[in-house]
Amino acid sequence: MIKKTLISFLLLTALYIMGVRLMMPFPKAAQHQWQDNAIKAQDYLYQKGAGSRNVLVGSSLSCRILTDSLVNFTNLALNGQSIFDGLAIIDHKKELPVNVFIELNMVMRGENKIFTGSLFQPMLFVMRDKLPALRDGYQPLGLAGKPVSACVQTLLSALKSRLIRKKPEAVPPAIAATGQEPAAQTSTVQAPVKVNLSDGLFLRLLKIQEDNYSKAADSASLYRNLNELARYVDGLRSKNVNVYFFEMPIDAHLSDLPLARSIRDGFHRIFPPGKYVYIPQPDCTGYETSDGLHLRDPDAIRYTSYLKSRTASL
Amino acid sequence: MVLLIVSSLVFYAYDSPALLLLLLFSACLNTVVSYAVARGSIYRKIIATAGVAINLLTLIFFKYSPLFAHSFFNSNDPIGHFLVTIPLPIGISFFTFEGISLLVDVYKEKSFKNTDVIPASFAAHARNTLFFISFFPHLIAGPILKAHDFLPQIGSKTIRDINWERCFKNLLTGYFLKMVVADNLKDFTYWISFPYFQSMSTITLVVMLFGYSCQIFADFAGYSLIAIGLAGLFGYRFNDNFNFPYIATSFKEFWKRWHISLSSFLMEYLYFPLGGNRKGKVRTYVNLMVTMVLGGLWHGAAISYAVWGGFHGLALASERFLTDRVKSRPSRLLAFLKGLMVFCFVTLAWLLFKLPRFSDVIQYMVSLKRNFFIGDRYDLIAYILLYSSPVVLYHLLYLVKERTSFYRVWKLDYMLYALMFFLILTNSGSTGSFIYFQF
Repeated sequence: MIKKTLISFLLLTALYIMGVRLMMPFPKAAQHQWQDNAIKAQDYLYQKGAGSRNVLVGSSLSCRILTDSLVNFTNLALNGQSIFDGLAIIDHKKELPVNVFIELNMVMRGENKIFTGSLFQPMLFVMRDKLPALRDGYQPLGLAGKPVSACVQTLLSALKSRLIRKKPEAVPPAIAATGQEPAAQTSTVQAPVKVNLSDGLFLRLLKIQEDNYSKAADSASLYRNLNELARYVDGLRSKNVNVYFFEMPIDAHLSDLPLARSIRDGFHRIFPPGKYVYIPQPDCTGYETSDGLHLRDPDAIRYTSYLKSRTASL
Repeated sequence: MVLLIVSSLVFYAYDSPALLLLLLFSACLNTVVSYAVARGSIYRKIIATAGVAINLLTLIFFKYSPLFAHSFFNSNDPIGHFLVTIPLPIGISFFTFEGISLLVDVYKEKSFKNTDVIPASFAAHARNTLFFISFFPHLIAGPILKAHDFLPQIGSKTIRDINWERCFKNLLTGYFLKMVVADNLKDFTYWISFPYFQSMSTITLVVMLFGYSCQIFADFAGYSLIAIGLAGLFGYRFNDNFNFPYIATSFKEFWKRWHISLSSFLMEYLYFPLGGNRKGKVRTYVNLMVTMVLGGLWHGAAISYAVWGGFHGLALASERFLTDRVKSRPSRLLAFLKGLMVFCFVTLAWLLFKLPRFSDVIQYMVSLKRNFFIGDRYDLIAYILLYSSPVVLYHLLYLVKERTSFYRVWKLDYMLYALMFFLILTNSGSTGSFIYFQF
């Protein structure tokens, strides 16, 4: 029985690996935001050559930036994770980009060692490089999930349309408590959502963020992270990579609260504006968010245009 | 055996070398006490009782100090601060219970004669006890071994003692349940956390709860199968820890199928000594409640676990009360409805594991009621159903295994194992620790 099992397993695996190779490229399936992060990271790590000239690292806030209108940009911002994960990924690849853009907002969040450990584990790294079928985007059940999702949508829509008269209202995605990321409306991966700003839920979410932002950052943790960031920045600059800092716009109620101010002050202390280049945060009163932190779709497009104008000369 | 003991100690010390001292203390305590009791000391009852008490006090000190600190002291109090900083040694809930099992079994001599199992030489007994407590497959998350099951097996083993096929099946199934089912489901049931669930539809919330139920089974049963398979590779046989629990048609049956090593331990060493069902109906209900509340608290130092245990105790007591009064004719429909009720109750109760704060549990129930008209998360629902399907199939297989047609199909079982192996390689979720490690 063991022998039969092992032979069948080897045959099945070989068929799958060959099938993926023959059918590449075909759309990868991200089942949830953490897998989406892994796929993004693996796409960057395993692409041949340096890839894009410009790479952006950050959290889910920066994930909102739409790089299809930014020339030669790779958005390596990772939902639920930090700039340190993105920088670790850049650091791991031999070929470096010309410019790296680093988000300020979520610097308090450290590197996700489990995530990066799994990405860079030597045996897995080599296997995924040589055998794309073993990468996260090609998981068989991940690929099978899409048609199942379509069936679920058909069934539930039919069921609900029989039970209710009016269409369900769109609601904001689940929020982030400090450092956490919202879930998508219909997909398990981040998707743009419409929000009704007068909605009671949005106001509750904003209140939670106001409470979080009312306290300044713990200075020991902040400066520990900033010093760690300085190590990465110095390393990149020593290899002739240009480093730029940017701050994502958030709800105007939050942008001048103690947490945001203390992070800004910390950055300016470790990375003085005279020696380092900052892309200034635009006036937040002009931007709307779904939960206090994450830009709504039209505002994400607006910010992308702003970023494009600021980076055009680079 | 010495090599196994040393490797087990290195395995345990790998994460926190200092806590190895506690494991060695537990082994020494149980060796000395059980040896004295087995040698027929005139104070054997007092010695055995003291040994059990020290085991329990050790468990209470390391595990429940933070609970005492939060309940009786404020954060500025030095005693409170000290209690909160006490580390929780991994596996303590398991190896202290095993020590208690050894002492009680040696004292009572119900399952074996001490002369057959306890060596005359103290050194040999110390070696066997250390092996019993520290044997690495079960050391950090069970199954909880009982002395009368394990001690008679201790001895030199040969390759012939290994049932390779059984070990292979257990390991493969265990890794599949853990790495493919549980580790993937955890990324979807993550949203059963405050405040994320507040914006999810009723159907999404129900499916997530169902997914969590499948996840916790796959996680724990998977780990248990890995432990059983690993132990088998060294010639040792552990009893099954899960026996298709979600097909249970009564709460009593559920607890004979779920975490069998714990439920049988509680029955043998707590429920029966309290009197079991031999002291009248009211006392039976009390004994059930006490056993289940303490069983709940074993899982964690939080009131929510005690409440979880209390819910199950209440369910068992109520079921007993009704069974004594209401006699119904057995029917398939009734069995199905009872099974569904048990599953729904058990699944809802898991909410106390996932959301330790009561206010969050209440909010979840409110969201269940209020959010019907919110848009459903189709992808989330689809993936939860997809990854839960092996758990559903696993239980359905149990229901059909008596049929002859099943055996015709089951001859091709190697294809199923090959598929599981393939999915372990290509479809494992991101690393997640075993849920029961925290206990």
